[in-house]
Parts: sequence; structure tokens; C-alpha cells
Amino acid sequence: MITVDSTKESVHEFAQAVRDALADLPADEADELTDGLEADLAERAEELGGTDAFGDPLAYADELRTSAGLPPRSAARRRRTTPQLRAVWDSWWHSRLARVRATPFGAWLLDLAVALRPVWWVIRGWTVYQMLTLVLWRESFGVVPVNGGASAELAQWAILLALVLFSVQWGRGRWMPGRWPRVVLVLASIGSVLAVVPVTAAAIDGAGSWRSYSADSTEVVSSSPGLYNNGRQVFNVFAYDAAGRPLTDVRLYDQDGHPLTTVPDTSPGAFPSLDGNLENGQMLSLVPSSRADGAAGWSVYPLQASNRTVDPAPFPQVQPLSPATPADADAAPTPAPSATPTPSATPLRDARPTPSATPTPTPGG
Amino acid sequence: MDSTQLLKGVLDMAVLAVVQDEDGYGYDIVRRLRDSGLEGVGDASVYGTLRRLYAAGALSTYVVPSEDGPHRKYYGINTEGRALLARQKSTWSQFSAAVSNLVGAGLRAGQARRTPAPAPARAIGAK
Repeated sequence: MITVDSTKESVHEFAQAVRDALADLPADEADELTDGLEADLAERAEELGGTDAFGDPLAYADELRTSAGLPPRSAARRRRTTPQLRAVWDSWWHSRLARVRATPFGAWLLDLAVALRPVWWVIRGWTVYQMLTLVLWRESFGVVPVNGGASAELAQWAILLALVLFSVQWGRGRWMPGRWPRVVLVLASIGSVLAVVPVTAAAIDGAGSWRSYSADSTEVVSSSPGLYNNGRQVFNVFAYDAAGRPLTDVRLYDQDGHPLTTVPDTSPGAFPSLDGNLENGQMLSLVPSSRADGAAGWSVYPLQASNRTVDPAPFPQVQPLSPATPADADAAPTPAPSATPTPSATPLRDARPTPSATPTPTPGG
Repeated sequence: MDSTQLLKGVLDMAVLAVVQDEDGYGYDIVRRLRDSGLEGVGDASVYGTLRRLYAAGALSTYVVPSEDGPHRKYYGINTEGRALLARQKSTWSQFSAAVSNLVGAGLRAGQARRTPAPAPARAIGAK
């Protein structure tokens, strides 16, 4: 029973496909051709035990219409226009070329262009590869795939080399495929011409973004406001000198010269105090240093606790550093000019918030 | 020689011949042609030919509903069709006689290659 139903279904599909292939005919003519067709097909399918032997519905429809004395599917129209358009284009193109070649500079330019054709073939392959990666991976892996990790890289290289090889072979007139792939190849060529500039920009950009991506693996954490140390929020910072003694009023800056602050927002009044919990459960309420104005007060460490009952320093003192080696000791009295970059900043008493550009003279020397 | 090429020329006559005694629907007519020895006849060619002969006024048609499935379209010959068949028969018998004569006379190989095989002719003649 199942086979009867499925046969009926496939007969119906076949008849529908034949009808679709005749859709370019006037409706009454198409109806006339296919009227009673399904009954005939069903009987034949019953005899053959299925529709497998029916063949291609398009070929069936063609046979039907030619034997009925109707023209084959819009072939007449296509055959007339295509060569005409081609001829018009060819004559226009050849007259253009002849005009350019008539001048010495034009001839030189054309010869140069002909000599550079292989370069274009490689660029065309590369451009199609770039468009493909943009479509498939939504990003560029750079000019050549060297940033994507081993397995991705291998696939990328394979695709790139295959496309370049294909482009070059096509340019050389080898591997000349049939009629319809030619249309695809011409479209790919035109697309490459249009896409080569934006795709190159994306490739250079892509190389850059990959580099910064691999360098900044803790992007998620660093995007959260405040200061973090391996994922845990930092409320306060304690500095100790070489002898292990705690330092006060240490001003800290990051690699870009921005003041290092533990408070998420330093704009005036946003955080009168910074509240947090120590690991032992004690409450912490920190306030900016009163020795610097506004935002600058938040980068003077250690921050003072507003509740004096809690001593915020984790250690009264730490292990002193090992004594300097003799070589270091020798070097110490004569400070090399490049040895310690001294970020110049405003003295605390001088309550200007912006760091001044005045170099701080190194004592001694 | 490919018999499907020969079929094209005589299909009109063959179709008229198999409906001259009894009306038939599409696949029924295909089956009659095949049973007569025209094994290579294509379904779609026959259906197209039926439509063309109907449009030319040589056949009449009527629809018979079916209880379980799509309706069947029957074709029957009319006066015009019988006249057409008669004309085609006489053309065919002259033509086939000439060709048989030609082939039977034992021409040079180069010319014999271009002449049709007689098998389909006999099949239609038998009907």
C-alpha cells in the first residue's frame, strides 16, 4: 500500500515538473498538452513498478512539445539574441583596442598589460579566496593564512592555492570548461575586479585584528570596569620598597600613562567611597587620597580606609629583596640615562590634575 | 539506421491506424503501438502527436472520469482523420515499395548505407 501511495505521489510530482517545464506556453495550450497525462503516467508507473524509468521530466516535456509541433523551450529566442549581443560587444571592444593601440603610449600600455596578465590571474585567485573566507568565516585571515591556527591554516592554504591554480589555468586557456561555467568564470572575474580593493583592505585589517586578538586573551575580564588581578577584583594596592618596608602615597600609572584606579568610575562624585569585602569577610570602605584632587586621588596607593577600625595593609612588612650583585652595585652610582624611565607627574602638593610634561631631574649623577 | 528517426516520419500514420477501429486513451495507444512491434516509440512523442492530430482536426476527444484517480482522455478518429490516414497509407505504400525495391535490387554499398531498414515498415503494414 505504501508503494502504491508513494508511486502516486511521484507520478504527481513528475506530472507537475512536466507542467512547470511547459509554463512558457500559453495556458490553454499547456493544459491541452497535459490533460489526461497523469492518468497515462500512473498506468505506466503501475506497469513498470515505479517512476524510475520515466527519465528526466524536462526531456519528457521537450519531447511532448516538439511532437505536438510546438517550438522547444524558448530556445529560438535565446539562440537569436546571444550571438547578436556577443557580436555587438566584440566589435565595440575590438574597435576600442585598435584605437588605443594606434598611439605609441597606448601600444606600450597594452603590451605591458598583456605581460602582466599572469599577475592578474594570481590576484584574481587570491581575491576569490578572500571573498570566500569573508563569506564562510565572516573575517579575513590576513593577506595569507598565517594566523588561524594549524588546522584552519592548512585548509586555508589548500583553498588559496587551489583557487590561484584554477585562476591561472583558466587564464592560460587550460581546463577550458563547458558553456555555462564560462558565465560563472566571467562573473568571478568581474567580481574580482570590483572586490580587489575592499578585500585587500579587509585582509590587512584582518591580519591586524588577529594579532591583537592573540595578544589580548583576557579581553572579557578587562572589559569589566575596575581593576582585576587574574579575575578577582582589586580594591587596593600595597607597595613595598626593596627593604620590604611599606610605602605610602605611591602613584601608579598603566603602560599608556593613565592613572591606575581600582574604582570603576573616577568622574567626580560617582564613587564617594569604594566598598568591598576582604577574603576574611571584613567590610572595606576605601576613599581617595585627600592629597590629590578628584580623580587623581584614586590612583594614590594604598587607598585609605574610611573606617579606621580596619587596618587595610595585608602585611606590615615583607621580605627584603636579596642584596644587589656587585655588578649592580657598580652600576648603581652611575645611573645610565636609559635605565629608569621616570614618568613625570605633578607633585602631590601641586594640586593640578594633569601630569605635566616637565622632566624630573634625576638626583645624583 | 536508427528506427526512432524513421518513426518520426510515420508516427502520425501509425497513431491514426491504431485508433481507426477503436478509441483509446494515451497510454492505451502507446501500448497498442508497442504491441504492434514499434517498441522504441516514446510515450511523450505519442501524446504530443495525439494533441497535434486533434488540433489538426483529425481526431476527436472526450474525457472519461475515473473513480480512483485522474481522468482519462480518449481519442477517436473522425472522417477527416480517416481521409488523412488513407492519403498517408497510399504515400507510404508507394514510398516503402520504392525503398524495398531499391534495397532488394542490391545497390552498391555506398548508397545502401543511406537507405532505411525495412523492419518498422513491416510492423505497420501488418496492422
